[in-house]
Amino acid sequence: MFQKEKVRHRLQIYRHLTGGLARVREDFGDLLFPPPAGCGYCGSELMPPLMPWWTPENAVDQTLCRRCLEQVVFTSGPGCARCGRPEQEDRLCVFCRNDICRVSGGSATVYEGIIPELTRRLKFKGARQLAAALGRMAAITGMKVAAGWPVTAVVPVPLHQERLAERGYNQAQLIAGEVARWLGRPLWSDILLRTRNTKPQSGLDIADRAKNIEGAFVAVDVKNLSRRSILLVDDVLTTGATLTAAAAALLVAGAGSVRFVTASVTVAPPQHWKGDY
Amino acid sequence: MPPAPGATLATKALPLWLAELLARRLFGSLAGERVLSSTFFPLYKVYWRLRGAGLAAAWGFKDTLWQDNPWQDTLRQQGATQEQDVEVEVGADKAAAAPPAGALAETVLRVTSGRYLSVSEIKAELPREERAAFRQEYLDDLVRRGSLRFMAAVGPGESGDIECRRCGSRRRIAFSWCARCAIACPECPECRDMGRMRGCDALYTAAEPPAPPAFRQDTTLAATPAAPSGVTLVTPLQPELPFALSKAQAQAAGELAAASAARQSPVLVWAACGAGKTEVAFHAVARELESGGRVLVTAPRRDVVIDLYHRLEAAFPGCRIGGLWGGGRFLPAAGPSPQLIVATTHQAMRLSASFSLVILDECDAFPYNVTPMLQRTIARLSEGGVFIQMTATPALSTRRQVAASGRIIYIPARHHGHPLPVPSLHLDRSLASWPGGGVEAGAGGEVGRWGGRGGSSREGAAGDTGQVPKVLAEVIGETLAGGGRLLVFVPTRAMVAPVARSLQQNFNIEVAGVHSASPERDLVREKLRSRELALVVCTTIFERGLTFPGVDVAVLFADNEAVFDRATLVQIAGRPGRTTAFPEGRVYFIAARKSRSMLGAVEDIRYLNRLAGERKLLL
Repeated sequence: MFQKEKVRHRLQIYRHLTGGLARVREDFGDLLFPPPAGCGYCGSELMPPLMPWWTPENAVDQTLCRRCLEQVVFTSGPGCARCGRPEQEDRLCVFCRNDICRVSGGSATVYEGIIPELTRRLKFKGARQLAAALGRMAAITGMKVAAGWPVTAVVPVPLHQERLAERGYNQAQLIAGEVARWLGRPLWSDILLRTRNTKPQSGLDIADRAKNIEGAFVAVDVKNLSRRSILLVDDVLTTGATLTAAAAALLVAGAGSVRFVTASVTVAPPQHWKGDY
Repeated sequence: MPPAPGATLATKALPLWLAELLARRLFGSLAGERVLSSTFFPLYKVYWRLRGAGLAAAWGFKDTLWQDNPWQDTLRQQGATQEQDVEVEVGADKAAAAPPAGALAETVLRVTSGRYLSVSEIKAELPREERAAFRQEYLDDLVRRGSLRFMAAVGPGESGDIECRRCGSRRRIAFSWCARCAIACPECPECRDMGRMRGCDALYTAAEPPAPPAFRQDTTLAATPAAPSGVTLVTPLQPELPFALSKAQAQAAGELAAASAARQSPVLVWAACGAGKTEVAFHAVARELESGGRVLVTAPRRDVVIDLYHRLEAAFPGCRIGGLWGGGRFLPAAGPSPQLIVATTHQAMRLSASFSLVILDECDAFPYNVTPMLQRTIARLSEGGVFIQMTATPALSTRRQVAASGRIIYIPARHHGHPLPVPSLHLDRSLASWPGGGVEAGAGGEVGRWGGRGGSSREGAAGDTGQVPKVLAEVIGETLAGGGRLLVFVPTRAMVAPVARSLQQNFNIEVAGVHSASPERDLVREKLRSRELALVVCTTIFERGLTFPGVDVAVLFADNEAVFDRATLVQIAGRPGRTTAFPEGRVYFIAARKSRSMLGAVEDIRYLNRLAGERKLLL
């Protein structure tokens, strides 16, 4: 009888212990046992890395599966001499010719295939882990842009505070963080501010875009900025109006030179645009 | 610290979920409530205390700990000035429009009555002219007056764990840094596709959904179905049906109404394919409506739900019915929330009130059968009420579960009184070596290459070989000679075109091939209905809900269990013999071996036929 009680008592202690541990494991489980990595787009299981990630090219393999990566069109070959937009007949693309885009730089991929959906999920569906995929792609181009041009810091295009509160994070900052990591440069996420809560550019016409964004940015840390080279980072390059406005703010504040990197670039104009481009 | 611009009642002081958690712990322990299940374990208690203290401390020191933006003071000042400006504006606006324009407040209360909606969802539900005038302040005003309530979208649940208030998910809640709260905020990734929900987002619901008045029909009673002796339908309120119920249906309807009157739950209605299971539940609905209960009729598929909505509308003229499905909703224009709601299982996630009767049609269909969050939702809504599931192919687990705690009601025979066609198995070992069949398919390799195993394209070298398996050729020859028509089911989309081509070559008649992505899908369906086509090759898209008079069915590679599982095979076998004009048909399973699903399907069909015979429902 006594023995039975003792056993029951021990069992009780054991259950309390394991119950408590189970709760701890639930709280910190993902830290101790990270879930297996899946493709950011389709969720299928990824191949384990064959080698440590020395280059962003290798690192991209750890975010998207082979089948999804095959659908990504990376920019290559001759493009616009200023913004690098691919498939251009002239030396400059139509936006650079009309001085809507006045910054030089490059984009990693064409806004086609799975990239629009990836961007949408990152921006509107809260899928922050996708910033790794887009950021590493941007970093590949970032290295080319930064070749022979010493980058002081990487700066993301900021969101207005209200939009930031609504979304909870700035997707350009997440991408820029990845770029900064691969370039080994600091990320200055607080040097640019967006002072006006502008309308979303995606719903606007080409002329309205430039008007909408003009003078929406201001650079604050003027002392640190003077004569530095800044690499601006954004998610999508459409007309370049946003990047131009942001670069203008930096240059006004005394930056030496500004170039940009984006994760993707549009080639065909959106359906709702009027006129010929 | 001045509140961030755009802050409202729901977001002002603390992140909503944290405020709720702290309130629970404070007031819960004051009231002597055991907030945690295992509070007895002292070490764990300490850990929990530390965790709570940590969260509180994190909030207190967040400016020092997470100094994400050193310019935030500047920004705040800017925000404050902006807000002052805005306030003047809003004040001026309020003088004109506040208190919330009666109509708008009414619309908001009507929309949120009996549902949990976020701000953006409320906005999306408003009519266009009211949407422009809508401001978050209106919601705050309604909250202050006590006619609207809010809670964190992701917050502490019954057990003290953080859970999603919309989908009930607990395990996958993820904490990530939130710019609004400047602290880690919980977020539910499981129901993210229906709109993001964070711990600092609020879900609004009307404070007291007014009790709907019990529905009474003013019109004269519809003709009562011919009730068999021994079964009496006790409900005086009769649904108006377009046809009289068959003997089997009337029997089941009586049983179902009795079960729901006795509050038996859960109930499973297991009907033969084409036996007309939906109308059977209408008597139970009528009983519930009359006694003043709230009824939810739901199904996982949108087209089924729309169809149900129109059928219920016709059956209960004068009753206010709410219809909720993705891309369209019919809420009655005014008055209290409707007593009868028809919704997809996804839209049901936004419903707050519990129902005294929940009817789930097609309970084994995708995505309900594989989505725990939908199952949790239906369980939440049917708590304390009667839960009726209806299907032609219940999963074994459902069957066992209901048999243990509830009741299974059968509708074993079709209205014309002929037995269900029992599939005949045509086995041919050589099919296993046929590309796309047998072992190869089971192994999950390159399924769906018809001729040419080494071919590189997915379409295969196909009809180029022009061969047809001998068994299939025999079956087709037999059917065509008898003047019949045949639907050939194949396991994959890629097989459709090659099979159709080689059949066309061999039999010299028009053969159509259809799968989910083929553009002529609707055209072929119409041609099949109007009996213009004699031979059609298709994937499982024609598996459910369609009636083609006078058609026979063959399932090629029926042993491919990844595609043709038990339920699918029973549904396919339920296609022939659905009409009074053609009450009989034939079903062929063509395979290399007998799979478990094939035998299971035959067993299920035989079981229902035997049951129908025992109950004397067959001719």
